[in-house]
Amino acid sequence: MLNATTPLTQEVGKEGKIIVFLKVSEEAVCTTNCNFTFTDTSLPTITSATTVLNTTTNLYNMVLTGTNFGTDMAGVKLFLDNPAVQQTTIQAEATTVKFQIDNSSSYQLLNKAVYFTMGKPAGHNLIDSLTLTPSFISLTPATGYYGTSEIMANIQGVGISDKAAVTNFFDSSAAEIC
Amino acid sequence: MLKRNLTIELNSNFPYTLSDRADFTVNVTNKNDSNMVKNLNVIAVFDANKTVVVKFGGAYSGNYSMQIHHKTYGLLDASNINFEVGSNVTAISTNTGSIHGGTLITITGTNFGDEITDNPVQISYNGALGSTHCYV
Repeated sequence: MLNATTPLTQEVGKEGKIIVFLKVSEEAVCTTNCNFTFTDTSLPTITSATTVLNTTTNLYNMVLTGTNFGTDMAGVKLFLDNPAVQQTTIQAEATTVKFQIDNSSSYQLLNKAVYFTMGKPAGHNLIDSLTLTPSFISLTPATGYYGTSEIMANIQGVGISDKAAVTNFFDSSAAEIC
Repeated sequence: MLKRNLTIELNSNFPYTLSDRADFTVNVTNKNDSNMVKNLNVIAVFDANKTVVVKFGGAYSGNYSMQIHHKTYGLLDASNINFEVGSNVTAISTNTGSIHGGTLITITGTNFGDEITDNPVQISYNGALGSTHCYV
């Protein structure tokens, strides 16, 4: 499977044929409809972008609002990092789209790219500065014993060092346990 | 079709021990053009299951016969081997896009390469000048 994006062209209605070249300068045989037509459809425009921790799923969502988004859920995509990893599109409405970011702590957020069916949106720069602030989710296990239990903290977000560790543990009266 | 490792299985009765890949020479020849011959590098041999592994570096589409030569045994009978080379586009995710660019097209097919630079993509206007190159 290949992912390719079209560049800017000024020719409305111009129709061509998509060709995939093979490494020996040969064209791959097309066994489907490979025709492609450029249209003058207004680009989707992002006017705001935020990230929010969903307290039900304990996963980060990226929420974009704007105009001309369309409602094609399969056609709106968010990719993070390089190699690009596609995230889950969970909402696609004319003025709002929402993505769910699974396993957010595995990313570096060096690259973020959003695509709509009709093209890369205007206002794309608004997602460049988005961050996923590390958030504490839970402890595993939830119960243990003094001096013997190994506790793992579940964190969602980007920016946790792989050398991070739980250093302070307080009980409900704020007394330090360890 | 691009680079692949191919495993050739010899008859279990092959009388010689497979111990040195240098004992084998493997070529493929285009059945429609006998001048189109490609030598395939033998990268490993396994005596336990009488297999020879070669690296296929890619060739123009077509049907190829295979010639396998062992330094002591000579030319092996590979007449039943038809090596078919080809690559197809089987699906395109969208057939329209904005003049402003940035339309993501997902192309599904067979035998594409493993690297971004292996398969350039172009939108061609019947061979006319000004074909549109896409970013893979």
